[in-house]
Amino acid sequence: MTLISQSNWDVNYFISPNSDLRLGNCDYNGTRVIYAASVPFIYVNYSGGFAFTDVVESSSGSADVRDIANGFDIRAAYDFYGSSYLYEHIWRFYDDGQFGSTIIVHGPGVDHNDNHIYHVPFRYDLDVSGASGDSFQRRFLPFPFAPWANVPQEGRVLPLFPPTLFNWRLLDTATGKRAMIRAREGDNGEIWALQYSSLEAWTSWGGGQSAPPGSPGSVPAVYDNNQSVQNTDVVLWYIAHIPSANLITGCGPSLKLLGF
Amino acid sequence: MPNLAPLEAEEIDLAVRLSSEDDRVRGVLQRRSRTVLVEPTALDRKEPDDARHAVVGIYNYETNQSLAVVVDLRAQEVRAVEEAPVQFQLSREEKREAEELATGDERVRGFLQGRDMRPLTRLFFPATAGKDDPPHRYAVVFVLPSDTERRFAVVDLTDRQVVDVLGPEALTVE
Repeated sequence: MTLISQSNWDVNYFISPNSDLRLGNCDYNGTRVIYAASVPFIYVNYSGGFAFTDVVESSSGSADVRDIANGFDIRAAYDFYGSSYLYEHIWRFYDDGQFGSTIIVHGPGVDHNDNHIYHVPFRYDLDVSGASGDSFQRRFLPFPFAPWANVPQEGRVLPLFPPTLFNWRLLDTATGKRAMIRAREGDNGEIWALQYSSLEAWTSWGGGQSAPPGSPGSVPAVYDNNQSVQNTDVVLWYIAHIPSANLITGCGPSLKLLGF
Repeated sequence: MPNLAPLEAEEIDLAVRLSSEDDRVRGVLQRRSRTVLVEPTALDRKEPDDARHAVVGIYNYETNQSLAVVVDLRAQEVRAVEEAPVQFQLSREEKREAEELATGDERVRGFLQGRDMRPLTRLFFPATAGKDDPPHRYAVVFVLPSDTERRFAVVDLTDRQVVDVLGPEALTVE
């Protein structure tokens, strides 16, 4: 585990040969914000019904840390399958509390004629209250007032408004600390809020199912037991569904901390 | 903070051994099964800073069930055994087995004509995966003797056989 203390962040990350780049505990301004975060695998689905998973593994087992204006990046290449199947993973942290994770799909994979879709799950075990008191909310109608509404139970929540707006948030109602979450344009992104469960955490090392992430019977739906996602430990799965048409493309949500 | 640093080789060996000795796991291991995952984990949210746990993923080919076994590496005890509602990624052993089966397939040999297979192997989900009850576990071996030629050997890891060898057109058929 490597610790970076910079730009108001204390970020623990780890990577090893044949592993992905994962975050452990991360604090912002001295307060725990992230318990763990990762991209467990990438599901690739060709139009002929030919579907498989790519493991996200770095042959070098190393990550680059790069200083940028007002923050820093941690970057790794997932090159296990060679140059035609290359992914890059970038975690970015800004000193004002914005952060995010992006997977860059270099492709082309087997085919470069827009015949496949990448389904990329991003798992965020956030902890804005520090004491199992987080509540998941979504923006609701009417536009443009878009008030926040509690999402009572586990499940999938699509954005109601353009993805460039913060459509979702995780809130500590006691303190007002919150993590705002928005999808990336073009991700066809969706978010799943789950109450933390040990089994889900244990199997987040690449456990998948035969259907694409976000589908019934697949991850994270298999962990959805209609439990409350109010005033509890919440784990978020953001799933990007991106076509291969863009040749080289990126996906992943952006988050912004407020009240810290 | 739990110690989630990558496991050392001796920790992996310990986790595998302890999991295999657990009564709840021993019965699974007596059937056709395999350890496919050993990684660091936290038992739960409120564990002490010096805690060190591993999750051992076991796949049972006969029942298509995945087990998650959590081992406390400090206390040298199994702390949890639960059925996992997922398939773990292929282990290195499974990839090797799939590639060996592909190497032995006549269709693959005919395609390769003595060239190196340069295989890339993934967990695969064929459209016909549900035909068996319980479903089988599959790998797809990308056979890549050159930058422009490819075939895809579909390997049924449950029955240990190559069930299909596909060309690139199979990926784009509607």
